[in-house]
Amino acid sequence: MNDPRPIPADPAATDQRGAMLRLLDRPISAQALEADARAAAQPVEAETRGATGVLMFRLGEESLALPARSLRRVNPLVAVSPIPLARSPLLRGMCSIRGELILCADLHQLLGITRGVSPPAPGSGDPRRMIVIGPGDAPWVFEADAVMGIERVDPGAFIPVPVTLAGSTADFAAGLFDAPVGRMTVLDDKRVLAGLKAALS
Amino acid sequence: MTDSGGFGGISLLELFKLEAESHCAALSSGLLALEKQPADVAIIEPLMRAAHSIKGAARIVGLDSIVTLAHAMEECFLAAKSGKEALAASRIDRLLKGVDVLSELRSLSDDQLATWSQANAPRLAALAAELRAPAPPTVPPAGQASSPPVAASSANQSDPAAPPTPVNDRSPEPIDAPSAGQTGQTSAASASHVRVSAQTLNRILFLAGESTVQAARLQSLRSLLGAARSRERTLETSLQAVHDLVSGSAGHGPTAAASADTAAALAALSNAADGIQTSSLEQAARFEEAFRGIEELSSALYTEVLRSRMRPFAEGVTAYPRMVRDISRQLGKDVDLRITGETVEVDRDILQKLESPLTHMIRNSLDHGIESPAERLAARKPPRGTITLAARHHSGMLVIEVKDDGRGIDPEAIRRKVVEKSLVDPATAHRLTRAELMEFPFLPGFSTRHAATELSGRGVGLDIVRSMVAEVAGTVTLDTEAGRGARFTLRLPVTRSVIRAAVVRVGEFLLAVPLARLDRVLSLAAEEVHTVQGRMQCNLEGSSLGLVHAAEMFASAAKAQRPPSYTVLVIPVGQSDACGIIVDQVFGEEDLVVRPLDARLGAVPHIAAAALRADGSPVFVVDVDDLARSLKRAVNEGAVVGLAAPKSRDADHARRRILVVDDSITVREVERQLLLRRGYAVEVAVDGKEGFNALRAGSYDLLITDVDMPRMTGIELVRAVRKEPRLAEIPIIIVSYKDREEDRRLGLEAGATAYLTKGSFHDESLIRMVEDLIGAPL
Repeated sequence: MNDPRPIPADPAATDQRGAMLRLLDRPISAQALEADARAAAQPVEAETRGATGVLMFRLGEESLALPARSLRRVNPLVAVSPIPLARSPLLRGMCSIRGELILCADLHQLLGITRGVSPPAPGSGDPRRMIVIGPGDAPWVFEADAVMGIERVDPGAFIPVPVTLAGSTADFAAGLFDAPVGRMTVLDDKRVLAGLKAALS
Repeated sequence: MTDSGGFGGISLLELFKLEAESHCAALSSGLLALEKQPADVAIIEPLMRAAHSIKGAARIVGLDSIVTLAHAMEECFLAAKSGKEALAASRIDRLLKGVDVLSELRSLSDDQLATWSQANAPRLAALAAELRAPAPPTVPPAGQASSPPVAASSANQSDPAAPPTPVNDRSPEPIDAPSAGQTGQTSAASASHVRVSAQTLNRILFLAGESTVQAARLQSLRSLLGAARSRERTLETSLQAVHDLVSGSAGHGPTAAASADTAAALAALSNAADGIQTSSLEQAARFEEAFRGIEELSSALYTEVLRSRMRPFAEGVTAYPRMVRDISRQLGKDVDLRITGETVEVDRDILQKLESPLTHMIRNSLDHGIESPAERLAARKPPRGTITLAARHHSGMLVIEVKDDGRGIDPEAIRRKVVEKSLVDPATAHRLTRAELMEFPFLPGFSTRHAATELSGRGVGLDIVRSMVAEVAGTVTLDTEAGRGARFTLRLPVTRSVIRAAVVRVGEFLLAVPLARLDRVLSLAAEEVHTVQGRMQCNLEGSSLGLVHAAEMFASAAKAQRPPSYTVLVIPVGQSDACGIIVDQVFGEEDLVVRPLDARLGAVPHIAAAALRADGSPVFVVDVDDLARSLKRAVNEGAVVGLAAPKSRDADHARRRILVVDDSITVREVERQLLLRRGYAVEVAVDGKEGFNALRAGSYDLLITDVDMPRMTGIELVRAVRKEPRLAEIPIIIVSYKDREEDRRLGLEAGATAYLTKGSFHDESLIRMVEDLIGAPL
């Protein structure tokens, strides 16, 4: 009784948490504070009902979100080396994330999104990030044009994907939701990973 | 009593096994040494202690049958030490048998150990009795097998009289206390090893590598600081100039007071600037110090992690003395194995991969190299043959030699065999140099010995030896002289994890070519490159060197233009040939830590592995062997043509081209000749992978392939071909020995157009099928 044991951490959960913490390891914007305040003000039931964290990022002009359970790490931009005789245009190459060589996918290509051309605001550094997703033994990394942060959403509140949604994004979408920064498409992480896997065969 | 008590997370039984294992290794090597110098007390001492320690430890964990055996072994050593009895070869045999039994423990789980001990009690007791029985008359090393009937019968005789009780009778006293102390000592000496999973070690290595990359990034911060300081100096100079201006105009100014104010303000400004400069100088110095510190530390860490993969050569060769001893006795030969360079550090991966090629070469020497004592005497050699296993580092490579002083191979016998097997026509065979002849025994199916024994059929395995050595990026060569012996020389990278390579750019690709496989780098002016019959060439030391654009071998998307000059990597192809590949840029030599390619990529043609450069960017390590095969084909056929090369539609090009893929040289030749006679142009490949590379690089009208092949089977080949948009329509005939219905279905389902059995080239069915599919040759 006088020796309370710590609750063993679920490795997957720590991984997600780590990724989020690293992401949030940057100056807190007023926006983020506001979001936090809103999250804190949420009724408790929403959390227990299975609200899930999503990572919000931008590809070209599209705002997208990916469930945090598939997220492993967000990294500054690194060099990508193309793979000779690669079979699929979805396979951009290989890059090193913390010394680990990871296959780099072209998510723009998978989702049919044209690459952003807007130059980064001067002085603020390159907003582009490498996002590592997928299981530990088969990770993928892709380049996002910007990362907007983590938001808690209730999957029950997703807006169904309209048939008019452009490009192949619709094939990989789980739904839409209205984030403080605007409406986003939440990607179905499983379908995204399956789509990338198919590019290898 | 066999309950495993906790001991730092490892069970007591586990500790016992580890200890027994290390003692077994000591016993094994000591016994072999003793055989050569039977009276050497210095050798006997540690053996006695080892047996004693095993006995003590076995008693602690309650494995009584092992106590009995170890005790009997200890008694043997005790007798030998006190000079009562020199250890005869037959007794050493029995002791080694005891070591073998003890070595079985290693593979048992904790749970199995107790039952094993009980189940094997009679066997162990019999062995113990055998050890205590008087030594039978020494058998000469040449002759009988290792377990002479004498030993067996004497064991049977004393069997009923030697149940395991004597041990308990003789030492009922708590032997545990001293033996436990000794146990502690010995394991302390050998416990300096920790088992770490390869995966963990790799992760540490990656992180250590990344720390050097990050440390190198600080360098750019340093230059930023430098730039800031030079701006401060500009500020200082400007301030000084203003100061001079103000003080120069002091006397003439409208108001002296205002001027004095300005001067004071300027002085304050100047002071502040001084302060900034001083502190920034100090910052720079501190940063420099910290940078050096972290740089040194991270590279030391990295080197140390890499080094943890290195083991002394001796560790990989412990099994050979015993093997040589056993086999030579079995063959009635007298052979001494000498090992030199035990302390030479070798990558543990390489050590592991060398195990079977070395075993094979040593067996080969034992079996075919070393003669019987009688033959040796007749040849005026000492009756005892010698096999030398030597390791050394030589100019950045690990060199391992397996040398014997046996009968060797007559180079002329190889030359005859080459002609006999019609590998080369007699005229060419006549011109083959010694070095070229020495290449043939490494070809699959090339054997200079007709009767292969059960131990090693020379020729059956040498091609496998070569491919296994090539797997660790090494080469193996043979030198032999009739009557004087043979020497295999293996040249290997010191470590598998780090290679020295030339990093080059080919279009958008970063590639690394291992220096071990690179002859030289040429820089050629455009006019030094000629195109002869559609093939690019240049002159290299009087002979012509075929050139190929690397961009085409690696399917670079970059548009190549005719440059003012060419950078060419010269790559050896086969033993005496070479080929040049044109690259866009050479960055220089770098040490690269090699990583396996992501398994999800499957086999990437011409690429062996990936690596990280010092700046953190990934490069792809070229599989030079694989590339060389494709290069050879490209140069010979002009299948990959140079830029300016006009595609000449000569007769050969106009003809229907067929690719034959089969790993059997016989089948390949039969098919090739059959088709050649009909007038088709035929190319061959030795396995699916080579065939696939050829198909991608060249243009063919038909593919004929076998099914069972190394590296890539025919079925895999067909599937791969059908996935290539350009090749999806090419007709494919499978020709296989397999004639079952499901084999046929498997082949056709994979995408083959037709499925024939190998009998088909005896009648006309293969030719008819070919004509049906692609028509007449022209």
